[in-house]
Formats: sequence, C-alpha cells, structure tokens
Amino acid sequence: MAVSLRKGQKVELTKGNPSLKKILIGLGWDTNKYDGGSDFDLDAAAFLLAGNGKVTSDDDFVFYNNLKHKGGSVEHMGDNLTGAGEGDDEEIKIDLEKVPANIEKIDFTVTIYDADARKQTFGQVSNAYIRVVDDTTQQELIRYDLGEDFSVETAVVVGEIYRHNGEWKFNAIGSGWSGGLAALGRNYGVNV
Amino acid sequence: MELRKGQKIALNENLLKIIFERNSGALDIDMAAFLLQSTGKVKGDEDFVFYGNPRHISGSVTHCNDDSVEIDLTKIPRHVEKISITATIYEADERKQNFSKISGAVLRLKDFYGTEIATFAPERFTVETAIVLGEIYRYKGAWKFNATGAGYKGGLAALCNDFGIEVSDEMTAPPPPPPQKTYSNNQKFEQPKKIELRKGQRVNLIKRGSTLGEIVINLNWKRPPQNSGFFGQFLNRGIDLDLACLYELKDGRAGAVQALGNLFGSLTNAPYIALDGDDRTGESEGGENLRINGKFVNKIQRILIFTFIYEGAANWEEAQGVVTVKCPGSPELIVRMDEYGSENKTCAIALLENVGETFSVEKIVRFYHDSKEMDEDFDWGLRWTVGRK
Repeated sequence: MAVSLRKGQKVELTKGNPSLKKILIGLGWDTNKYDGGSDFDLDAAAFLLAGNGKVTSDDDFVFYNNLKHKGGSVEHMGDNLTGAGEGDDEEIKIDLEKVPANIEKIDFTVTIYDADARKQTFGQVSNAYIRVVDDTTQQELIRYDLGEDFSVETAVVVGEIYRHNGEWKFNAIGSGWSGGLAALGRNYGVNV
Repeated sequence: MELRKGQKIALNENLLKIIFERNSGALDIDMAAFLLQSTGKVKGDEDFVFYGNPRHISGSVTHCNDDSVEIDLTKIPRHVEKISITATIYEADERKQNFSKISGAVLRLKDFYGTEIATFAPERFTVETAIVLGEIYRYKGAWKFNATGAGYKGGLAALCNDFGIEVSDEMTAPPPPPPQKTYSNNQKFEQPKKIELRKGQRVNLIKRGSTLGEIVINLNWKRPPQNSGFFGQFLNRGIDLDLACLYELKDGRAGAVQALGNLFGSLTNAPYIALDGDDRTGESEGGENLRINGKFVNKIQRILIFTFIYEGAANWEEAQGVVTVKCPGSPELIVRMDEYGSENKTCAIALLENVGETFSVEKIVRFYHDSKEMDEDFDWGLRWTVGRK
C-alpha cells in the first residue's frame, strides 16, 4: 500500500528499504474534455540539481528532447502527446546508484506545451498526481495527488527526490507558476 | 521569518508568491498590484494588475486569484522601481464595510518550492477600505520587500488615484443599467419575486454576498397528458428539449456545455458551468438544469443559453418551453419561448453577459437550423461536428 502524501510532506525513500535501487516516477493528469480548439500537451521533465539548486550543464535537464542523462541514471520514457488513457501519462526512470555524486536533488515538473498560444492553464487540468514506484518489484511506494489548487499556472514543480544523510528522500511540492517551462528553466539555470 | 510593520528584507528568489490570508466574513476582498515608476505613479494603465488585467504584459506580475499574486523578479521592466501589493474591499462604501471586519490577516511570501520566506501580520484596521500590504522595490540593483501595512480610506478608487490610474466606472463597479431595469439592494420598494422578460429586455443579476452564488438556469416544458391510454403513449410522446449553452471565458477560451458529446462541464474548473444529467424521458417534473458557479463570474465573458430538439418534430407550441434564471438575492427571471411556427430545431433563448461583477440577462428566443448557424450569428467561433448522445 502506497503512502499518500500531502503538499509539503517529506518522506524517506531508501532508509529502511536498502533494496530500493531503481525507481520509476509516474506522472498523470486529465485535461478538460472540451479542447477549446487546441489539443492539450503536457510534458514531464526532470532537473538534476547541484547543491546550489541549479543544473551544472544543460544536459542535467532531462525532457522530451534529451531523454537520457549521460551515464544513464535518469531516463525519460518519452512524450505522450495527448494525455489520453488510464495510468501514468509520462514516466521517468531513475537508477539511484548511478546518480552522479554532485547531484543533490532531482526535481520533477509538469508544464503545458505552448500554453500561452493555446490559452491553456492548470485550471483546466484535473486529477494530476506523481507516484514513486519500485522499478524492480513494481510496488507503488508513494503517491501525491496535487488537488485543485491551480488556476492560471502553466508549470508545476510536482515533487523532488533529494539526498539526506546518505539516503534519498521524497518531497511533495506542488508549487505552480504561470511562466511556463521557461520560468522554471530560468530558476534552475537552464536556457529553455 | 515574521516581519514587523516597516521591516525590510532582501529577496534572493526569482519567483515569489504573495498570499493574503484572512477571514473575510461577508467582505469581498481582492488583491491587486501597481507597477510604479520612481515618481510613484504607473507609466500606463497596463501597469495596474488586477482581476481585469490579470497578467502584466512583461509576465512579471500575475493576479492568480483574489488572495494571491505571483511575481517573477527577472521579468520586471526597467521603468518599474516599485511594486505595491494591495488589498481592497469591493463596493465598501455602498455596503458600509471596512477592514475592521476581517480577522487573522497574514501576508505570506513563498518561494519557488512553496516554502515560506516571511510572514507579515498587518495591524488591525478600523475604517480603512484599502491596504497597501507590502512593496517590492529596487535597492542598489537588487530587490527588497517592505512590510508596509498602510491603510487607506476610499477603496481601490483612492489607490488608483494615488498611483496615477484613471478610474472609469467599469473598473470599480458594474456600469449602471437603465433605471427601469434595475433592482438595487437598498431600494425603497418591495423587490419583485419574479420578472418575466420581454424579448430584447436585459436585466442584471444582483450580487448580494461576496460572490454571485450559484445561478441555476432551468428549462421546463409541457409534458403530454399521462392519462391518454396505452396507444396515447406512443402517439403523443411530446418533445424532448435539451438544455445547453455556449460559453466564452475572459481568457478567450470558448466551448459548449451540452449532453451531446458528454460535455457536462464543471463547476470548479473552467468553464464553471455544469449541466445536470440529461432527462431524456421528459418525465422529470423539474426539467433540465444548467448551473453557473457565481464565484467565477470574473472568468466568464458571456453565456448563450439555448435548447435543441434532438429527436422528434419541432413542435415548439406544444412544448411551451420556459427558462427560469434563479440567482440568490435576485428575482427569478422568466424567459418564455413564446414564438412558435419555426421548423428549426435549435433555439437561442437567453444571453448572459459579464457586466463587471455580475451578469446581465437578455431574452433572445431566436430559432436556427443548427448550433453552427446559431454560433455564426453570435460570432462564437467554435468548430462544430455532428455528435450523438
């Protein structure tokens, strides 16, 4: 049975669970049925961050155009253009032991592609969640449902995994911003 | 960190959320931001960010809702030296309200991750109807925050005046509708319980509390007599009217809420309009209902209420359709579909338009061959395809 988290809650991932080596981050959402003339395309991404909260190089931004981090520690399983269907809409796999030592945390974000031109916001997105699955046993460990807090936002920092005393922890963030992927990228030090 | 009034802190973040938490009671409070030059005035009206102009063209300041404002410090234009974050009471004078009525007021500054950077509890106010909660200002090439907490009388209009915004009537209050069609709160005569609209007549819904409340639009029509025997049931089935609407939101999004295509809408998310389940049998006494969440009136530009006959002949006279618009605090508005003889199966019944903080309701009752033709007449601009339910 997965642990269900509230916004801002932090939980242990590897502590007490030493066999956990590979995790799968599943992100899902539903969009408003009426498309308003444009399709909804939501994109998940991972930012690999050093101790200063920034990326070290553009390669540390793993998304639909850079699916695999060098060394293979983080792999984006590909872009789902419609968000249709049951289950995860996009998935990111992480091999915790391969994460480079200078990476202190990995943030997971979901952004609406071309949101301004298509006049789309997270106000039209429902049932968004992030879940962490043990990729070896396929057991769901953690689930965080984002709720209905959003209105004008076009980008959401959904959650992150971070190092703490030699172990990995998960933080349920759910912080939304209206400046799209570009605003998040600037904050992480990536030119998007 | 808890700030005292007048305390200043450096801002090390690029992205900030400023949240004004309070127990408002019956007060309708909204936040706004003024992007000011070194003169203390705005450069132009576009530098006033509020519910009617929710995002500054630079993307630096965004009005998220009535209790939060988002700031992207990297996007602030060069001409801006200071951003004043304000809270005002809507129609404070008319309603004889002021900030003495709120409690638990706290301003929260949150960072990129939603973590609190600082909080500021403004002192208790008395007669004030507007507060400058805080200011973000340039200091030696960086940005700082000042916990201002200064109260003013005169509401949003006074602040606008101070900051160099010309206040038009539309900005602070809905434009006054023609007198014979108005039913204000402090009228001397008894408010009628029901008003039957004439074709082309427009009245405004009355905003009583802090929001409009739930607006229910009911369509009812005549059922065939129940005692007409076994064969009568087949011969005289009456007609089935489907209630639906087209909507256009302030941000330009548009669409339809109708049973066809299962577009039942949502009250909590856009379009803030929802259709109760379709009563296809015509058995239900109550007819069909569309609901509008009055809390989000600011997000909605206009709504066209229409009906169509999915199956059967266009016998409008037999149906004697009646639409009733119910809104807490307003008289019921009755729109009778009292024109008959049209072979067309789609009828635009009433148009709701945003006139500030409320809707005007206009009787239309005009017939169309299909939704597409109606859409074109009202310039809605949706893509129509044939649907089934």
